[in-house]
Amino acid sequence: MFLLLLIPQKHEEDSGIVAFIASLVPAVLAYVVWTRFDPAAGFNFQEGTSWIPALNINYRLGVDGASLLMIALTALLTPLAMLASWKEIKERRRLFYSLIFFCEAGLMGTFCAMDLFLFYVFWEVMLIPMYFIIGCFGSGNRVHVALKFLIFTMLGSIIMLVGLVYFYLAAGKTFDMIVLTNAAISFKTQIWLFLAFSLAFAIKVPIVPFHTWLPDAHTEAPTAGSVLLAGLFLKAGAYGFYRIAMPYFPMAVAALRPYIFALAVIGIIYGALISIAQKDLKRLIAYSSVSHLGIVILGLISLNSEGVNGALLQMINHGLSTGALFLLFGALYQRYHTRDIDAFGGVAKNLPILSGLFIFTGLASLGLPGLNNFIGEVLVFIGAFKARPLAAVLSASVVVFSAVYILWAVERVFFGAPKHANIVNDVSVREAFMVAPIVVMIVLLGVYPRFALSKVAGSVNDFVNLAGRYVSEPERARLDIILPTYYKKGIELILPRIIDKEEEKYQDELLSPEIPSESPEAEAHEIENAIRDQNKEIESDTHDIIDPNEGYSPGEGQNPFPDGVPSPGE
Amino acid sequence: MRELLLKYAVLFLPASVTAVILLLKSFWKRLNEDVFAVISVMGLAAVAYFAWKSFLGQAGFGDQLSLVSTIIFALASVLTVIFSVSYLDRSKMESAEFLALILLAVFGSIALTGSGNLIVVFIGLEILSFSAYVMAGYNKLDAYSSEASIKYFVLGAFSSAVFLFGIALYYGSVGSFQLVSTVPEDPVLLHVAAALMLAGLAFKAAAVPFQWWAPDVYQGAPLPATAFFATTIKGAALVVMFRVVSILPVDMVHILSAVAIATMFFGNLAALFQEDIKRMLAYSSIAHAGYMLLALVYAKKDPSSAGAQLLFYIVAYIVMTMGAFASLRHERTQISEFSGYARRRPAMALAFAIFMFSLAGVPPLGGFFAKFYLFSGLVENGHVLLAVVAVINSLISVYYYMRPVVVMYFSEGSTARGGESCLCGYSLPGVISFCAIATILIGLFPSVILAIVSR
Repeated sequence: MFLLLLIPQKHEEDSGIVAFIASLVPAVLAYVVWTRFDPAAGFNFQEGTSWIPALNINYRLGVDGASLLMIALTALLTPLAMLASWKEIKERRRLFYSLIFFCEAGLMGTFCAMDLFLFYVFWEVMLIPMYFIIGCFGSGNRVHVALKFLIFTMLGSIIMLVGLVYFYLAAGKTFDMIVLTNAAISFKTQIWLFLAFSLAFAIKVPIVPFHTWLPDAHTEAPTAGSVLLAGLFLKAGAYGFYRIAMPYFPMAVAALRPYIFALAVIGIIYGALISIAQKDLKRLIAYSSVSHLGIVILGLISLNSEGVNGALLQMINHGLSTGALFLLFGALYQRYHTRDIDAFGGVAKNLPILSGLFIFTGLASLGLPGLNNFIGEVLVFIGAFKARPLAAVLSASVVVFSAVYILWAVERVFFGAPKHANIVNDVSVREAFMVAPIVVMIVLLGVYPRFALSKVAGSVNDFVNLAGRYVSEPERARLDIILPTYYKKGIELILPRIIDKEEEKYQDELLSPEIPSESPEAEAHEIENAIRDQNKEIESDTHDIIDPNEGYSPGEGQNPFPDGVPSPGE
Repeated sequence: MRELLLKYAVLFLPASVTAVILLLKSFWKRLNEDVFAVISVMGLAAVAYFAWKSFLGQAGFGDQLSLVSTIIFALASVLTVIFSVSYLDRSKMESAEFLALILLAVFGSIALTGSGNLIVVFIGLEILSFSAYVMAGYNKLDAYSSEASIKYFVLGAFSSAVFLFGIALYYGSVGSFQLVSTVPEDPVLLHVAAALMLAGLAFKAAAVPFQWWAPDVYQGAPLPATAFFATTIKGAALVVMFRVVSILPVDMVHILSAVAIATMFFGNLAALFQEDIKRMLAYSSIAHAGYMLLALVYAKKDPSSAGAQLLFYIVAYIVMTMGAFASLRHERTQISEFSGYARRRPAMALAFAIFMFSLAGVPPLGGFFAKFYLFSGLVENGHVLLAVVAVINSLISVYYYMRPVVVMYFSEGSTARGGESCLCGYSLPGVISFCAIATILIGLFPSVILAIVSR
């Protein structure tokens, strides 16, 4: 079944219709996988065969919760991207659609691979077709931009290759991604390897100092290219952090955590501020991705189930909303042939439906409650607040900034006096079909996120346990996806902070909110969740002797980071 | 007698086929040229067959290393023969002598790689070199070709003299022409001897600082000759260097690392600025010599895996380089000539793009796996920094390998099938598509070749 998913057929007909229909095959398969997926079973649908036995390289695939979400997103966005290209791509269609299929294959492979070498191969496989998509079908300075994209990502992946080889040898000549999670590697090596792998992922995500390729590539790529880039390629970077960099090198994660927090916060705020300043609508959407992906990284590095759940959800959300924005922008561009925000104006009068859709997705993207991004962002901020309150507070300010850039752009583009009175052809049936699934998903995820989160609960738990092995924070509770609990928890977190400001025991209370049992709310809460809280009490009892490793014995037998266990920063 | 014949079949066959071709050519004027091609291909196939038999256990000439390389070189020469028949036909030149030269060179390279006796090695080297000098100047009406031949001859003769001097010193130090690993009384003399021998061979492999001839010769020589120099001769020289380094009790890790780094950087940086694809490929082949030299760095420490990694790299490199040279139309192909090539000839453009990507080391192609395998050997033997340098070089190379691809696919260009439309039958497209498919297959299923080279 999965083989079929991974090898979409290369079709020969000179038309996008065949491509579109063919791309529905992986979508249907992905749906089947989605329905049959068992969240409790770890990696589902495992299959594999020996590939290069001499080097112990295997062709192994499998799906866990996070990969499932990514596969579903890939399978959803690819047909839509193809649909968007029917009118846009006028020549060399065969080449174009087969390139998109190659991209899809590379992405699917990256998300399913359970062998690190295989992961690397797929990681590179998705790069080359995108290079051609930008270079052959892009606009403006496409050749230069395509090369920049290629060199940037190659830089990352080629450094990753060295790390990969070193890791392979250090871990006893295996590429098995499950065995590798328990590889005993010294602290120093972990730091280097983490940096090598992170560089590749950070460029792809992109985390801020490595983001310069992104706006160019997104802007010059054709609509389908932008959708795939923003919707899926960036997720591959975040997925790399989730799947490889963080769980494999927990000591490095623990040691470098403050810096990653800082980079994530800088990315969130910087991306938003730059977006405000953009004159080019497509560039604005591109820069907003930097900000949104910063939120994803913030959630991942929080290393608690709220944050990670939020991050995974946010990956999906960003794929949907930014994908939709790019699709709609493509539709706008076909009518107006400009990207300049100031050249639009009064579009809503001429094209009410298109404008409505754009504004709707824009609102989803800025985190309007009831739509998808809101849930993800709230979860991430709660998670981040538990880990680093300051980081959460700083990055939560992005909500304001994103409202500014989205709403301001919407005002300039869609309202005011119409500048192009003659353009009146509103959304066609094709375009409606192109956006409808995304709009449905946006509402669905906004109202009922459990539909996605229930799939990832087990994987998130594993991730938090693996990546947080050396991070000392007592919150390891599994997430109950009932939002009121969160609000309550949020209040519990904030209230002690205000009330017991001068108390010495403040820190302990912050870390385990159940302790102040004098508050009646918490007592009631405790009765409700007796089993879970018992677990927590044991933790908070032993809290004075900080024992980060709960049942895990580090291979080296020594404290891996001399700087001491990170305490919740203020 | 029969056993002896069988044992030395790999040596004896190419030499006799050479003689047959030349005799036929001299005494049967009206013979169709294609016959020579068929004879040489059959001869080379027989060489590969006998080498394979010996490899499987029958007594034969040379050890496992040289037998595998014999097979590789014979098959590479088959490609060269087919390529050159098409090329010579197109440029209205006689093919018989050229094919004879190729076979003679193969004979030389088999002797060169197969023997542990330095005198035989030297004879092999000279046979190889002299055929190469003539091949470089084969297009005698072209001034560049003659220049290439003269340049190659003068410098090559000098390097052979250096190699010979090294052999003399080796004899003085060890008292034998056999390569042995016993430490002699006078290790200094041995060091000098090894250095001189390696210098002579490094010239053939076009490694820094003996690489200056390469761009001019590669550019001036006829295309199939260039392809032959860049693949078989370079490979043979590296195999012998490997043998010398791994056997002699001389520690050359630092010097070899320095040479490898310099070679990689020189090749890659110089290739960045070339407008002529053939010259760019010449520099790229220097860079690849640098990568292959990396395998020599740890050849002493871990000979079996270094040998396997070197041979695998040579296989992948030969396939993609041969394909890249075969894809060129004529001697001086400016990059800009490829503009719009993807629309005119999509299949050929795709093949050329595959070669470029593979040379740049993009998975899942053969060039990538060769590099990966080589770097894993480097890291395993503790040369992490060297691996990082190599990887950075590989990144630099992406830029210039992408330039033809950019021009082929991204620029409009003319879509008319102009004067270059002559593909001359099926032989040249055959070579190109074979190389392209092999490049992909080596990358996807390296186990087959791994199993052979790591014995």
